[in-house]
Amino acid sequence: MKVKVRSVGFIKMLLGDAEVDVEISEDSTVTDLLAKLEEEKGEKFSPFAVRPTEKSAHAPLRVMVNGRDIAALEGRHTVLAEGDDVLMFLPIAGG
Amino acid sequence: MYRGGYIGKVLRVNLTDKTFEEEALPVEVAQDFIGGSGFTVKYLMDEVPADCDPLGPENKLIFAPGPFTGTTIPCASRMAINAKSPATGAMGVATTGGHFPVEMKRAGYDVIIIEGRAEQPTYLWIKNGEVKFRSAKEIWGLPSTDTQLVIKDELHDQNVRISCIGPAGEKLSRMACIVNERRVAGRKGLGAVMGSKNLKAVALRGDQQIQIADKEKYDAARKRMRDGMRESPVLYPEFSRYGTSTTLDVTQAMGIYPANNWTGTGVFTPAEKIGGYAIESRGQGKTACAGCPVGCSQYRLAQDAPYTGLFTEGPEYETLYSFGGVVGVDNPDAIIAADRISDELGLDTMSAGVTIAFAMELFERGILTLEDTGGLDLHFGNHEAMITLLNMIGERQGLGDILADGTKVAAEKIGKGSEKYAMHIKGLELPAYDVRGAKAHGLSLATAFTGADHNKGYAFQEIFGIPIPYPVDRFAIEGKGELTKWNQDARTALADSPTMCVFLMDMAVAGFMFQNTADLMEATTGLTYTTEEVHQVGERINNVARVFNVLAGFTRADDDLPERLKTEPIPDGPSKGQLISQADLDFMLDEYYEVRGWTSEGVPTRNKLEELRLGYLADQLGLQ
Repeated sequence: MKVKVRSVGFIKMLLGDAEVDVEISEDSTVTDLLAKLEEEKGEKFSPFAVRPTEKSAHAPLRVMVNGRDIAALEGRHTVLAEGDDVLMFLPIAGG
Repeated sequence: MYRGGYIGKVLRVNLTDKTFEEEALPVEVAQDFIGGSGFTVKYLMDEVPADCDPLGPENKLIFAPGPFTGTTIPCASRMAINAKSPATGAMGVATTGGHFPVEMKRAGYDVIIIEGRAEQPTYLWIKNGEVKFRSAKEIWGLPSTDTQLVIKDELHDQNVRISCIGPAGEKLSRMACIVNERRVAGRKGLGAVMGSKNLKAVALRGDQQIQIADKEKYDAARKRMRDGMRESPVLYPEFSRYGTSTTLDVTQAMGIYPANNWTGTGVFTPAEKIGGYAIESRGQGKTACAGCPVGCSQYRLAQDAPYTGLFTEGPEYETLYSFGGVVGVDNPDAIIAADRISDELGLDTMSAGVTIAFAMELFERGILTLEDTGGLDLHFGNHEAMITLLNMIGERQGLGDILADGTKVAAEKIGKGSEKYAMHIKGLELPAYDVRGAKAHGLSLATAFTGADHNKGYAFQEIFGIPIPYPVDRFAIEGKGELTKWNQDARTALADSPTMCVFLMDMAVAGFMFQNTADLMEATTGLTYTTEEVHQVGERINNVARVFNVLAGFTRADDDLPERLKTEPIPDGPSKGQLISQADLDFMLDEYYEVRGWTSEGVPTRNKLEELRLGYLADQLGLQ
């Protein structure tokens, strides 16, 4: 199935475009999607595909599915559906 | 008396009598209120009648950095300034950074209280325990940068640090700010309070050293904080390069970047032209507050005519909204120009921009005509008209005179149903988040003790997805009362009082933010706190402010949102359809008052006040 990955800034630069269609298997989770992106885009994307560590308070990547933060869903276990809008960016916090 | 951090001294200056005196900072005040915002709230409560005229001589202007300010703790050059706000009539705490906060500690004071009213335009020169009252007749009328340059020349000291007002404060605009270097204590009309006292500037200088109570604990706590800063995936990599400007890209992507006076959220989406990544092309280096290794302040230079050559420190995210989305403008050079012009006039960019947006909507609806605007075509997006009107506001000319006190007052003067389009809470204009799509953030604006202030209880969980103390769903209304109390108390206790830059709270020490403050307080000052007691300091400060506001006449009815947010859903984008109905707001307010321990009308109870060692305020409220 296909999901649309939108991004800004540094992540957009890594993915190559502000909007990218990604082909993933049925019932894929956000973790699966990130693994697929790591596979397609290479090593530069790896730091963002990792799980949050104990030390850092939050993940190095912020992900929203259909406008909802995955922290409010099932985190990286959130299951995706055909046509989902997945937004990814660095977790800046200011303003 | 103090083992470190604090100087232990309060300076009291009387402008009417041209006198000054020093007094001791009571230890109980230090323990209970920590510093910064806490000190200014405490002193204002105790010394200024809540029903006084904000522009009269009874109001006081109170400056306070914190015990961390002036030490080697990073990112602590911040201070609070407070007075009864001319914009709202409520407590008016605003904060600023730069270099003045550190210099104020070097000049030897934890708190400066300015009272009365000078007969003639005056500026204060504070150095080595001496206060001089100098004539400001020659600099009255000058814009803020030149004011500071001229004072430094006059005093033969280029290292003096200055807080000043521009023409807007002199002309008592309720949107006037206080400027130090190129930074501002932007909101609540504190510049007008200074103007009403005929006080053009406060200049100070000193070489007081700050002591540290426990060097070993200090080094350990400081190292832990520095490690957190280094490990952050965003603080140095992104934030030091862009400041807050990339927040525009984030809020637009979430569908909560307000546009066209809050009618066009999700419809007008200008991030490709004025987002943080877009305006990087205008970057001309960066600068930092005193003692900050991050340096998030970007210098930017306008490129295209008619704004070519205008230079500013900024614009930050709020200004990229107030002279961008909310007025329908997507010209980055116009925003740079407006940012610089606002700083020179001494106007709050946020209130100025939202007030211009209000005028634009009225113009589009035919409520204001070309005759009213003096020929200005105030359609959304007309950035040249925006700049012209901004200058008119700063100098109170033509329509600018009607708009200079903000949307609430302008709506009263214009009438014709215009108050429906005035986007303020308690008289303070709304900040850059369409809170219909972030409910706790909306509740914090409705209940903040200063009006629609994004800096009194920022819901970073909703806006930035940070799962501290727990992850939240920004569209839900349940649990938001509890979250808002947490955010308000945390912000006040951890950032605005010790003082510390809030961006570290969100991006560097988020996982241990309360422990960080407790450890640094003990190490620096010798005063000890459990993390619960740190929470309680924030709660105490918010309760004192609430009591002041109750005495000033505020009720539950004032903890409100503009009509538009309650009745019109977000028109488009990822947050399409969201709004906060009156029922939603009442639900959240009920929960908020309950967790705060206040009555259902939002009044602190005697029980709660005594729990916070504020029993004397229960007496003042006349509570049983």
